[in-house]
Parts: sequence; C-alpha cells; structure tokens
Amino acid sequence: MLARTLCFALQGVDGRPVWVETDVTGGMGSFSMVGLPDTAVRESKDRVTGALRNSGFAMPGGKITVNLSPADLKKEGAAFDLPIAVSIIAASRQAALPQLDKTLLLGELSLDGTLSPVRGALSMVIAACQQGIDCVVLPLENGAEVQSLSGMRIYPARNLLEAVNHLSGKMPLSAQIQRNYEDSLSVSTPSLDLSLVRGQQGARRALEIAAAGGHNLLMIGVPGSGKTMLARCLPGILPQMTFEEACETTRIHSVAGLLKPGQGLMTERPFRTPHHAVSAPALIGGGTDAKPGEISLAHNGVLFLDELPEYAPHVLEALRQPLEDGVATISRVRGKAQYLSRCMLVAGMNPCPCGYYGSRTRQCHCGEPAIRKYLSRISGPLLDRIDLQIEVDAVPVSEITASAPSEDSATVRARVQAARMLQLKRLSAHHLHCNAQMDGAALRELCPLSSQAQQLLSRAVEKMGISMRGYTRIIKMARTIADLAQEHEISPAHIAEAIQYRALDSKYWGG
Amino acid sequence: MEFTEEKLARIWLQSAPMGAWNKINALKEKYGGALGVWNHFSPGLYDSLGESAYAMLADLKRTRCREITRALEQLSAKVLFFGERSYPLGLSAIDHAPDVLFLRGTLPAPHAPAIAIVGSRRSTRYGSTQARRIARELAEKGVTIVSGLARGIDSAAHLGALDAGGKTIAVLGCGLSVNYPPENKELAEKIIESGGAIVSELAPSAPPLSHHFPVRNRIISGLSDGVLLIEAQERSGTHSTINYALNQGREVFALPGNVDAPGSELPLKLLKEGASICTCGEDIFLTMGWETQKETLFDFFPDTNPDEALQSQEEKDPILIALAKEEKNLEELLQETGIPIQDLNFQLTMLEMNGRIERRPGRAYALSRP
Repeated sequence: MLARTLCFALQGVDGRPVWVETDVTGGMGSFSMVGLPDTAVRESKDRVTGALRNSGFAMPGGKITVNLSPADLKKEGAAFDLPIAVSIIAASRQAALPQLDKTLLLGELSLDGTLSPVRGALSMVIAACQQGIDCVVLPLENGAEVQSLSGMRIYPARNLLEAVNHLSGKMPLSAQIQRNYEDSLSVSTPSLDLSLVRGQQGARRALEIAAAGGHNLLMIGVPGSGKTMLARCLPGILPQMTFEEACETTRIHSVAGLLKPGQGLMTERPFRTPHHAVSAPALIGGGTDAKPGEISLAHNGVLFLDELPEYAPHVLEALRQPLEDGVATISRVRGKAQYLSRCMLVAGMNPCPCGYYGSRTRQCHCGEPAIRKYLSRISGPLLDRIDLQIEVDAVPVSEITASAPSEDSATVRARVQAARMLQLKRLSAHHLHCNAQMDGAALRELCPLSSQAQQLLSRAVEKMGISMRGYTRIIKMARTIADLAQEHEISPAHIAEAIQYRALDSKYWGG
Repeated sequence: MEFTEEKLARIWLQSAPMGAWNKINALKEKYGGALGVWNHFSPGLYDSLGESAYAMLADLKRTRCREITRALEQLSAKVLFFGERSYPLGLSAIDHAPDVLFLRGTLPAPHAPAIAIVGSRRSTRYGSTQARRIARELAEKGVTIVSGLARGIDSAAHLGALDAGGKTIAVLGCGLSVNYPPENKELAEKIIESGGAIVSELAPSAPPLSHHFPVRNRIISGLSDGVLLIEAQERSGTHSTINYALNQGREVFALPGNVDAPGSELPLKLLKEGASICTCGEDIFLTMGWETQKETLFDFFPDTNPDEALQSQEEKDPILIALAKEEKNLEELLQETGIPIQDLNFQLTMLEMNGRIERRPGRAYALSRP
C-alpha cells in the first residue's frame, strides 16, 4: 500500500515542500530510499527501524521503497525521520492515519522512539502555512519556537507513539498554547544596561546617534577603554524587534542550529562577536551546504568586530557587499542560498600597534610608519561604510567609583525609537528603514540643507580637510542628530556636531 | 651636454662603484689625475680595480659616458667639480670631499647659513612634529635646511622648510634618477620647484645600496654649519652624521626627548657629552651667533601665566578657559565646562574651524599656537 506525507527541505532559510512517499509490497525484504537524500537522511533507515521496533510497531517484512519528491532537490538533516517512520506505519497498515497528507510531520527519532529537536523548524512551519497546511506535529522542544505563529494548530509530541496515536485519533495531543510575541517581549531584559557604563559621555552620545540612524560605528581607543562594553549595550538601546524582524532573525538562527531547545522567538537583537581569526565563509556564510555566516546571524542586530585591523584583509573586503545590500548571497556547488544580513557593523580598534597612541597615562613607542601601516590595513571602501568614527579614552578609576549612575538603556531607547519613527515616515516611500541606508540620490532629495548649514559644511570641507565621502557621511549623521532632537530641518549645529565624528577622516592622524 | 676630456674623465671615475673608490684614488695619484687614468686605462688595470669596477669603467669609457650624460640631460641636472667656483664652499673644506657632485635645482649662495636636521627613519609623532616646526622656524629666517630625503625625520625637516617657503637641500644615497624612498617622489619635486636642491655624488642610475648612506652623510654635515639631531637610537646611521659633523668642526645640536623613549637614546647622550640643547630655532641662532631680531622669533613656550594670557585676550569662552593651561580630552572638557555633549560637540567644531583650537589624538583638544 502507498502512504504519502508532507515534509520540508531547507534551502537557505526557506522550506521547500518534499513529499515522502512510502510503498510497502510483498516479496524479498529490502529497503531503498530514493530522491537525493544526504547521509543524515540515508541513515534515517536505521534510526526508523529501531524507533519502530521500540515503540511497539514492527518493520514490515516486504519490499519498502521510500521516495522523496521532487527527486532533484537535495534533502538534508534528520527532520525526515518522523515522516518516514509514520508513512511506513501507514503503508504497512499498522495504524489507520486518515489526515496524514494534510499534516506536516517533522522530527528526528532516536532508537527508543523519542523525538529530538531539528534545526529550521520555524522556516518549515512558515512554509507549510504558505502551502495551506495548518496542522503540525513536531518535537516537544521545537514547540516554543513556533508558538507565536497565528492560525496554526501545533502539536508537540514527545515520541513516535504519541505522534501516531494523535494522528490515528486514539489519543489526541493537546495543542501548543499560542503566545503573543508582544507578551514575550515584555519579559525580556537587555543583557547589559547602559547605566552600567560610567563616564564616557562622548561615546554614549555617539552610540545613541548610531542606534537612532542605524549608522555603522568605529570605536578607536586604548586597550581597556570600554569599547566592547559600549558595543554590548547597543542591542539594548536599539528599538525592540518587530514580530517580522524577530521571525527573520529566529529563522536564520534556527537554520544554523543555534536556538536553545525550548527557546521561543528571539526577543533581543542578536549581538555577534566573531573572533578576528574568522574565515570569510564563517563571516559571510558558506561551507558545502551554504550555511549562514556571522553577518546573517547578526541580522537585525549588531555585528561587533573587535581589533578590526587584525582581521584578514580579504575577510573584511568580503563584508562590503552584504553590508551594502543587506543580503548575503552564497553560491556553492550544492546549492545557492540567500540570507538577510541587515545588521549594524560596530568595530573596535587600537589607535596604534602598541595601543597607547594619544593616551594620557602611557607613552606610545610606535613609529609613525608603524602607525600608518596599522591604519592602512582597513581599506578606504570599508571605512566609507562606517559613518561614525569616534575615539574612546579610558575612564579614570576615580570617576568610575565617584560618578552617579547614568541614564539607563530604556530612556535612551525611547529617544531612539522616536527618531526612528520620524525616519520611517520620511523614508518609507523609498523602501528604506533608516538614515544610514540613504544613497546619494535619496540624500539630495530628503536632506536639503539650509543655506547656513550648507555654508558651514563647505567651510569645514575647506578648513578641516574633509573628503568628499566624509561630506555625505556628515549630512547623513546630521539628519539623524536632527531626528533625535525631533527637528525637521538640519541646522548648522547638527552639522557641526556630526563633524566631530570623523576621527579617521581628518588629517591629524596618520596623514 | 658637452664636457672637456678632463671633466668627462672625472665624471667617469666618480661613476665607479663606491667599493672601488680607494683603489681609484690610488690610481689617480699614480697617473696624475683623472685624465691620466682615462688615458692609461687598459686591461692591465683589471687586477688593481677588481672585476665589477673594471667592467663598468671599461663600458663607460667605450661609450664616452653617454649613458650618464644622457641621464643628466633628461633631469636637466648640473655637475659641480671640486675646485670650481660653483662647488659648495663648506663642502670643499671637508676630508674626502666628493670630486664631482651631481645637482638638480639650485644651491643657495656660498655663505648662506645652513643647518642639517637628521634623525631616525622610524620617527614618532613627537619627533616629526618638532623637526618640522624647527625646520620651519629656521627656514623663515632664511636658513637652508639640509637633510637626506629619507623617511621620518628627514622628510619632516624638508616639509618644514617648504612650509615656510624656504630653501632646502636633499642629499641622496642613490643616483639622481632613482626614486628612493618611492613615497618621497613628490617631495623631491617640490624641493626643486621651491628653489632648493637635490644632490648626489653617485652616478644618476646608482641604486640605493645600504653602504651608500653612511658615506653620503659626510656631505649632509659638510653642506651645513651645524647639525641638529632630533631622534635616533644609539646604534643608527644617524650616528655617522654626528661623527662627521664633529670631525668637520660643525656645531652639534640635539633636541631632548623623554628619557624612556628609544628615540631619545642618542640625543640625550650627546647632550650629556656637551652638545647644544635646541628646543626652538632661536637656540640655534644664539649658539651660531647669527643676527636675529628677537621679538619676531617664534616663542615656543606659550604664556606661562594663563591668567595673564586670558586677560590680554579678554577671553570669555569657557572651552578656551578650560584649555588655557593644558590640553584636555572630551570627557575632561565635559566635566569642567558642564556644557551638554551635543552643544559641546557643536562649539568644538566651530572653534576648530576658526583656528582657535586643534584636535589631538585621543580626542583631546588644545589651543592652537599662533
């Protein structure tokens, strides 16, 4: 007899429908699986055999053929275990399963029949929803991941027997309780609060501007000046993720297998800190099966690169395209995948090889050529994409203990959110999200300068040696500063402040 | 370019590799000058000159130094011969003065004051800044700055002279048609445009070999009345310039640096041994006994009494008041002035643009010096 059930194969973050067809006939005992299964899928034969036997079912004696259709799509992972096992049960008439082809089944089986969580569950369930299938049986640990999706009946099962009993109607499972995304938002707290940062008024202000406009940020400072701590505060002052954003980010993390078992939608923006020995495929995405890289894992969040000049130059160059387009496209022999990569790049670096150039407390012994060589490891085109470049100095111990607690993340976030609202109103017609994404044309149209502001900027270009690329960066930042002040026009004061965030653009350093 | 037979012979011998110069001098003595060697040049000299020098000279003689004269024409370079009026006076007085000197640009008048500024190629910001400042101060008063066109202090010294629109001479350790170090090509052209000179005792195509540089250092000190050392380690090429200067009877100056900085090793050692201390251009004028109007000279130390300075400028700006004593970084300014960060950023830009303050590394600000 023939049994059919639906499952999904992952291609990037998208689920592609795959029909699992099982035919059991009499004759010599054999088991064959066709339809381009990878090793993990091929091995499911042995897991399924064990699971069936240990759940009180039997492996049928005759000829078993499992076909995964469409035949030309590569199938990966262990999510096919459950649909294969269930379809064998149905095809060998060990149980009557009426709704089989209207249910999405997914899960990895262990030999005792227990269901283990799989990666990419969220993507598969969303794909099922688009296919018009509203009933899902999945491992218990994957339940939380999909609990915020509306209009789906989701049944988390502990093991194969529970799943079969549910499908046959013998002992229906209780459906997963739906939980609003907004509800889960209210219980989340940012990992590091800005109130813990003492002093650093200048850096805090720059952080706020960066968050408000989605600008990339470069912090230059002596070791121990708190660059990493400042960067870690950034997710907490960015606006809270919308449901769509949370879905996008969670899908990528789910596909990468990074969600903890039982974790729901991600409520906090991701903060990724790849080490400087990272390879280009690990950062951008790749590998034989086109996995997402760090830049995609940081989608809707922050990608923090500490010690920027220590990264291999070709790795940094590879960052440019996904940073610009907001999407990383990975082409490999075994498939092509696109992962969203709209993240803020925050980078930290020392001012010179020894780290103490410009420090008050320690003498720097680096020669000028050494400093120039160190700085030149970061290419101009990459610097072009980093709007704010600030210097951070260490806070003296006396100030750490003495000063009163500073503003907390929630207060700053409220201002950031208000500034983002203004931007959305202005930019939605151009399909942009924040000021940092404006290109030359949008900038001219959306950020007209008053004659006074224009005058100031022209004078600054002339007097302070500001480059052409610095010029557009300053206008973008000035627009964000105006948004933070809830002002519609860019005033000379906004321009003047923006000019301060150009540490590497000016001539006094390495020039 | 046409030369007499005798001059051609001198250029010819000057173009031999540096390693053969002692042997050539012996031959000159034997045959009574360069022309004698030219006329007696034969395979018999192979043994006394060595293989490479002989091959090179034989080749050049066969073509009558066409390669060299053509290169000189291309560079519109001049040739100065020892003993002629155009040959620099100071240089002619030193031991082992070059017999022939190749020159691009123009040399200053024979008795014009000249100071060499030398130091490490791996200079720190402190060193380059001071080298450039002192070079500027000297050049403003008409002193020619002599240096070696190398990276670091040398470049800073040339730049300082150019800043003041003054004259500067670069003495190369390679031929005139060779760009070394490559990044200073533009600087070399600027030196010539501004009325300075580039000189070399080596054939136009001679490569920058490491043993050329200590030898050319005698020309740097020879062209100058005094040598100012900015930054150098004890064992460095700069040391040879100082030794030449002492042997040639030139005044030696040194700029003090931090006692724990590697670049202070040699300057501080020289100061202990009795070199003249130099912190500004005026120090050199005083020691050399050159005429100067004191009031127009640059005053290195800003007013030591900040209150007085304030009164004289009638300064009201809290930022300028805070910066009057010393440079401060952003956080210190925030604390001291109490101005909110947005406004402070704005005011700092305005002051910087108006040339009242300047930005320093580490997000520090300081009053601009006039």
